[in-house]
Amino acid sequence: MSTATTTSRGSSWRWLTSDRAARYTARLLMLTLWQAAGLLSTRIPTPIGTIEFLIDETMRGELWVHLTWTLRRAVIALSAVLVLGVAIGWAMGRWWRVGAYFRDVVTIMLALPAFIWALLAAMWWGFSEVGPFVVPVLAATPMLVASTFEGAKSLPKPLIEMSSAYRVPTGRFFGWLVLPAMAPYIFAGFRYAVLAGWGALSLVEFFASNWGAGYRAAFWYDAGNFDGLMGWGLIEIVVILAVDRLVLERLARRSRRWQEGTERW
Amino acid sequence: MAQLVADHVNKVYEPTGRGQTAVQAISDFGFEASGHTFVCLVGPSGCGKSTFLNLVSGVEKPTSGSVTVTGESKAARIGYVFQDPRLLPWRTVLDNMVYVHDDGDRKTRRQRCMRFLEMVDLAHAADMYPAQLSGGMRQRIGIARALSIEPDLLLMDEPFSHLDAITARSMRTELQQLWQASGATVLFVTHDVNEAVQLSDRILMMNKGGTLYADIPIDLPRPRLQTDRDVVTQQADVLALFEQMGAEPVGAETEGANH
Repeated sequence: MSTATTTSRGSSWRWLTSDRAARYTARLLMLTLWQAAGLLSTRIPTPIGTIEFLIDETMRGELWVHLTWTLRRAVIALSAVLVLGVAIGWAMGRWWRVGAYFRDVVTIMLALPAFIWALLAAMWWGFSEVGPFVVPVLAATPMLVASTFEGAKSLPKPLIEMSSAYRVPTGRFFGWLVLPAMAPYIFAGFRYAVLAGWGALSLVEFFASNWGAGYRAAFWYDAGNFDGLMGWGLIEIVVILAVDRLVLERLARRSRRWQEGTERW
Repeated sequence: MAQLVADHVNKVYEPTGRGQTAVQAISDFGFEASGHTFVCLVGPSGCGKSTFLNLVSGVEKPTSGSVTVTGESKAARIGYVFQDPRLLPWRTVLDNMVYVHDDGDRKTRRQRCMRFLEMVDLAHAADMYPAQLSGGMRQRIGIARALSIEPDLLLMDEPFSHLDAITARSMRTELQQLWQASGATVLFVTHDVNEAVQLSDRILMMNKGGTLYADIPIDLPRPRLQTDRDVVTQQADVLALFEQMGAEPVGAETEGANH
């Protein structure tokens, strides 16, 4: 009996001094400080106020409607980013003339801030659906291109020669060799592209749309409701974190499965 | 079985940067081989042996002259065993075999590949990844892959040079058996004279600059071992030719080490 008690105490103490406990404590402390700061000024939203706002927004039915608008736009734009980024990046690595043509274009596009694109989209296309599609594509594609380009340059030449000697059909050559060899570069680039595209989409919705999470944040900003602005910001962070951890990270891990399989040996 | 005709082949690598000069890798190289023959290309390092295999396989094009391979079917099937087995590391052994097949449905291709994996005693490794296998096992996969397409012509580029002496020795014996069971014409590159004498029906000796120095028939009964008296005697003759050519007599130092 006494042994069991000692073990229980020991494990509790170990948990309290663990890294996990330190992380939870830091998060709790941050929330407490945020709440305290919010109580000092009416211009600073509080965590409790933000959560209350999100509950109200859900009850009004606005949360789901605007979030699905944003998610739908993101899926369409990021699908285009994936296709364009991989195609252009691979072509740059495969043919040096294509590389020479796009190199400066990609550098300039990477250097251009997303809010410039968002403002230009507002001027060019107004509140139409063109801006929420084009701006994330313009902001995110260069990241994937740059990463895929590096992957295409490092394709294993001996395996390409082997495929050529055996006259492997083009479709299988791409599916079995080119894409898996570039996969770590594509996944790394796409994760950053998703983050950049998501941010750009929020901006263009903020400035030039009547639907979506960014629009809703702008709506509450104009109304002077800081809990509303913070609430929609929080939703955007939670969604992108969930996508990153639940989808992108798992896909990246899956692409490295063959390496994990060999590490045991 | 294939008919291989190399007609006045030249291969020049143009300079790729400043201060570099053009390199003549193959010079006016010509020979013919056909039927169930095992031909070894022997020569010192850098004499163009591997370049010639790449010209035959179509991976590279000759600067002038021509290399023609005619098979029993319309397009000759060419298998290629490389120095390093060149397997896709992210695919299983069986997938690596299936990768080079372009005929039949998926099930038929996999069954045929399994048959050749069984032939090299590696059926149990079908679902393993290349990195989980030893160097010798990987090279056997490379050989099984090349044989599984039932090639008219089998190209082999120093396939045992990365293996330890004991593994290489057993694989030479295994290769002789596999070749005798197949109908392929083999073009085998090595810088080891002893290996060439043990395996081949004919040795083509290449000199620096990619010229053909000698064409030596090897008419010995099979199966052969490196230690067979006839093999050792013939090896001495070939090494003497090497010395006449002025190249490093490769094989003299491996004679004892590879036994």
